[in-house]
Amino acid sequence: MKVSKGTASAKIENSLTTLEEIFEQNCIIVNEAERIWTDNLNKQFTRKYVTPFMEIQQKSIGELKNLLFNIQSIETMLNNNK
Amino acid sequence: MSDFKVKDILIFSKLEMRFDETDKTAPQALESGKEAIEELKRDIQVNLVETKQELASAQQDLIEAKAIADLDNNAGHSDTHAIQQSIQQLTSRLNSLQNALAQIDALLTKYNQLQGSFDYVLKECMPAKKELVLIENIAKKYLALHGDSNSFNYHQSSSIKYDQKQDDVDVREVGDTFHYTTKNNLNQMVLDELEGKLKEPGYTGNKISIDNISQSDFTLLEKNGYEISKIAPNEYSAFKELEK
Repeated sequence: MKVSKGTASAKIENSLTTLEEIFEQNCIIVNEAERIWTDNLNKQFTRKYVTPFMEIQQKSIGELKNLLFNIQSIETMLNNNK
Repeated sequence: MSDFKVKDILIFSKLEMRFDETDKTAPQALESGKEAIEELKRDIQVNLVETKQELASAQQDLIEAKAIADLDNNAGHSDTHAIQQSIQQLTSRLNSLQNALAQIDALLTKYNQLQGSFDYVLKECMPAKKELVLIENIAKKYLALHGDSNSFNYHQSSSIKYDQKQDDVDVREVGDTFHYTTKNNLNQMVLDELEGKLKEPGYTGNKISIDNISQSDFTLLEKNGYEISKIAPNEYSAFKELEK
């Protein structure tokens, strides 16, 4: 079997880490914006752009974590059947 | 515009940078994840083909080993047994690979949907970058961060004295007070020119009231002897009485 344990899951883990880092930085700035930009314009802007922007990142990180778990299971199964 | 409340306009460029950074980095990260799954799928497919070939070969070996054993009255029994074990292992591996391939296909379908949703939402959100630049420009004007002393103009008439509103400046003389409203930032030149005009012969007034000042002007105004008053939340004015 040429399937090497960890290769695909390691790459997915890298992708997940990148997304988490971006999301973390985005959270910091979005929270800062909520504190210092307090008018109705910010509410409209948040509703239109910031909320979907943050939600899709959060959703993607969650799904990527599930995917990573599944890929690790597949890799384990394959390695047990070499 | 009176509802425009922002403590630091740098937040607009910070937000813009986060949208931009996410647009540049996140799709690439997701694509790398997909490539990893596709690579794993290709490995599995190759191994599946190899395993099928190995299994076919082992089954053929078993047939031949059985034929030899039959001819030679159970001679080569251990060979037959070893081949059967090998076939069992290969069959188990084949099942695992087929199972893994089915799971990978399902994961890839889900992943493609996720990637599609992500790209769609991100694309929908990207006009935010342009809007943030626009908002920042409006905020800069509103907070009077870009001063232009050349835009300072005022006139005088007899009855209501003067009431002029241009793009950048609004100056009125009411009674003995000059009311000055600026949309740009204050600077020393503006204050000097305003006070200089008030001291000119023919002007009877000796008070200056400046409206719509930003907090960034406080130091300059206080240095010039102005008294600052809060007239509403986030709205300030400055007042000074000159000796004539």
